Amino acid sequence: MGDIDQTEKELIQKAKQGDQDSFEALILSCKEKAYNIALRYMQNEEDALDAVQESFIKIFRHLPKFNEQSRFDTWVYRIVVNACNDMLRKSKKMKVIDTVYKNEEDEDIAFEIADKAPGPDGLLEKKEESEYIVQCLDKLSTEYKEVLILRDLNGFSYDEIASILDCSIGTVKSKISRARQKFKDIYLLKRVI
Amino acid sequence: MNCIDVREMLSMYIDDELDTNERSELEVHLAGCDECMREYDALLEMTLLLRAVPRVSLPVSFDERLRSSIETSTRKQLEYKKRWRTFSAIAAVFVIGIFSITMYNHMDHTDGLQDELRYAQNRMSADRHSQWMDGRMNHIDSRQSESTFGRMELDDRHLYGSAEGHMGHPGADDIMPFGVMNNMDQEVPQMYAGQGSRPMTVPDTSERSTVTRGGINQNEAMRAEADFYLRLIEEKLRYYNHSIIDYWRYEDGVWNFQVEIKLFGESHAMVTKMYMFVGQDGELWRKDL
Repeated sequence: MGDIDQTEKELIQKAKQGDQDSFEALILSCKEKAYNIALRYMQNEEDALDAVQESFIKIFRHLPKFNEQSRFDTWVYRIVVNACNDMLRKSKKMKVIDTVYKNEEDEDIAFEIADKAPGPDGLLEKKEESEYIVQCLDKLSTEYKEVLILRDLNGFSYDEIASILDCSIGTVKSKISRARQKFKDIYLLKRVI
Repeated sequence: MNCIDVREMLSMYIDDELDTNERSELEVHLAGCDECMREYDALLEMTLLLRAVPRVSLPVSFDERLRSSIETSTRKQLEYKKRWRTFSAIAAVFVIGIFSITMYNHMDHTDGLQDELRYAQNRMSADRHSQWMDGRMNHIDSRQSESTFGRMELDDRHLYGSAEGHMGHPGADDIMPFGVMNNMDQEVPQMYAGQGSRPMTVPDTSERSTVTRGGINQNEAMRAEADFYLRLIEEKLRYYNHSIIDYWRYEDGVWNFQVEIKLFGESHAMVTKMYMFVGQDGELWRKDL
């Protein structure tokens, strides 16, 4: 592990001075994850690519200011998450999804995803299953959606999530717990009373 | 361990985030409690379903697109920095010019002086900001090789009047008394500390009557810088309920802006968050970097 850190440090140094090749090598390991995070946030490829590209440009330009106190990849993901949140706000989708359920519109949620829900035998094609799950995920409010995107879709630990979202581990714990419960409710088409 | 505690800990159990004691206590409870066991199974299933969602690969064109975007962005940034330095320098000299004129004409009228400064400031804020940032910048681009002040348009000179004599110097750095500014920086945080919500107008210049005359020129230039960034912040946050709590400038020319933003959280509750914005060389960004 020591060797990897050393290489990363060297790459950061060179990239700080504007060496684009070093920068590309540096982001090699985190760009796929960054894209997957953005994709589940934005729900479409184009916006996700925009968010990721914007983030990496920002990262390259502000690399001289990276203080190396936090891990490099955590820093990257934090910027990507923020970029996605900013983009969502701009498009004002936030207003629609800011409550966990659109209270009057619970039925809308039910109808929207009803045709994709598991049939009587409870089985779905794998692809349809994934689509259904992603759609259910999208119905969550951003603060719950993002912890599940990080934890279950991208495998980050509670520590890493706390670092990326800049909050306490306690917050992460309770958010994940609640997020999963809400997700379950949506998945099973239950209503909030 | 009761059911309520257990339910809260189920997710952590699934993610293996419990310590040994907690884990065994929970398992003991689950063994004896059907309802909690059912809840655990359901949550586990949800988690596994989420984890089964496949990863998506980046499109092949991504690397190339990113490379060229970075190149474009770097080029633009250099141009922008140049414009910013020019703008700052002009702002300072402009005020020095006006100051000299008024000093000459209004020796005994300190009120008139304040008015002149305020007028000069407002002209700068209104005219110079928009002019410089829109029209003039194009001119500057096309005359890269000329000295900073050689780029003055003929119709600009009437604004500078007899102060033209000050502008013979080549290069912004000679004119710009940044070195002098630094000596004052201990006072700067006090000078520019905002209180509560700060609107886009210039603060009351009567506060500055205690500052030495030489200092007023630099302050006006820094006032122009601050206004420039504040304008950018207003632009960025125009859809948000926000107020600027405080702002200050460091020796190296970096500005910090403390902004409070009210957001809608879960179930329509209002959440207040504090953000820090950083301004440098004409660029503004949020301090998550």
